[in-house]
Amino acid sequence: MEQWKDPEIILLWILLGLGFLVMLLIFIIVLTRMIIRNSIEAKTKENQLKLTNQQQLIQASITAQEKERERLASDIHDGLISKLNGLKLQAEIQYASTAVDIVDGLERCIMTARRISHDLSPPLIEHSTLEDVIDEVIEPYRSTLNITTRYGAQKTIDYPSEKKIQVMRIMEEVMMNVHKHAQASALYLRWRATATHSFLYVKDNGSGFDLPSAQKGLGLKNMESRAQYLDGQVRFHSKLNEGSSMLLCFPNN
Amino acid sequence: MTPTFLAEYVVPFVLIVGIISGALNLRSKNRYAIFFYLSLGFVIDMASRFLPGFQSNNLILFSFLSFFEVVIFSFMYWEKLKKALWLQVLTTAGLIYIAVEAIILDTSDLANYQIYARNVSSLLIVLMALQYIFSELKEGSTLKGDVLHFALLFYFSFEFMLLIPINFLINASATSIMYIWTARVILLFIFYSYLIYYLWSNGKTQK
Repeated sequence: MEQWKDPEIILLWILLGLGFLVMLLIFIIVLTRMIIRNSIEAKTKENQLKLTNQQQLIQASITAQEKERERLASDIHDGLISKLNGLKLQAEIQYASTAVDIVDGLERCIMTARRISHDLSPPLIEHSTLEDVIDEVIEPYRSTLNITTRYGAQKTIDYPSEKKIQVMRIMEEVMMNVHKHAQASALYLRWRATATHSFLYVKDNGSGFDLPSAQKGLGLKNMESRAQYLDGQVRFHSKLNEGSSMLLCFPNN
Repeated sequence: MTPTFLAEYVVPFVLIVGIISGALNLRSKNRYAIFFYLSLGFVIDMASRFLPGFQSNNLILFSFLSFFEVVIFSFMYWEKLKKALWLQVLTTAGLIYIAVEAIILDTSDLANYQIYARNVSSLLIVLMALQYIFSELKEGSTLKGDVLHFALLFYFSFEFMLLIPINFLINASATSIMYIWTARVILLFIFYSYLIYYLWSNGKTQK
């Protein structure tokens, strides 16, 4: 009798085939799980790399922006203001009695140029505290807004100038939004620094804004970029006619 | 295109194309192995045509093919094989089994001809491919584009399953086994075609 007609041989073949299939099935399940896991890990790594690159780009862009501001401020201060001062002096000496209007005009030009220069790059920022920097930003608005400030720090933190500038720019953006769009009458500002992190909370009682459409705008994006530069995060909250608030948080070192 | 035509003319032609394209691009261990494997396939194909002139049949070639297949793929997977003692032991035992079976088996007694050499060799190659895939995955690779090892895995899995009832495939009536042999020839043709594509595409990208 041929072997394939023997039931025992047939049973052996079936067992061999089934055993192999089971082994293969188990391997395929384990392999699929491993492939999926590795793919997810690779994707996560790739996304993290993209995010890091994006942050580095933002940082480089902001640094370049600040350097350019410094250069412009320095040119205005050392070049334009010096020349205007020279012209003013010359006009005062040569046409003291006849050119009062010209001297006044030159004085106004000098004041404007000095303001632009200070706005571009605040002088002595490295010697100012962060509270001073914030105060300097909100000071011009005190006449039109009822501003309440609360500052509190667990310990004195010596922030680098770059961080102070970024916080200052964010505050400038906030104050400009409040002034231009919110029509607010009161503003509450809370600054707090713990041993590891710093927090800035600003809330107004203005008209508020539609957050999804505002997030597409340049202003909020700039603030987010600057928060990223600080390795921190910024959150906005707003409802129409119920005011708006902003919370900035970043690590101290 | 009938299966007979495919087996008699197309498969040897495909093998010759594979050998030539492999010989032109011998750059890596994998390609050497594939080149040797296709050459072995061609030699076995030719021998199977001429051997019946000297012997009653060509069934002894199953054992030869199985033995050298294991040798070739051991060479290809050597880097992974030398790190897995269990697979080294299995491969050695498998080679010994195939050799012993070839010696003691009486190929002239067709009614009792039942070899497991093809199953052993297929199983060993499947295990080698799995060992390779596992070790690559453990190292964090996603095996993207690494199709060769999966192709080997699937081909030799089918080969294992198809050739378990070899006694039936030799002795049963032609009409009942025709479909199985046809499936095997088509599978073989697809597998060889993929191997040639592998040799050709790798050669193209490395230039």
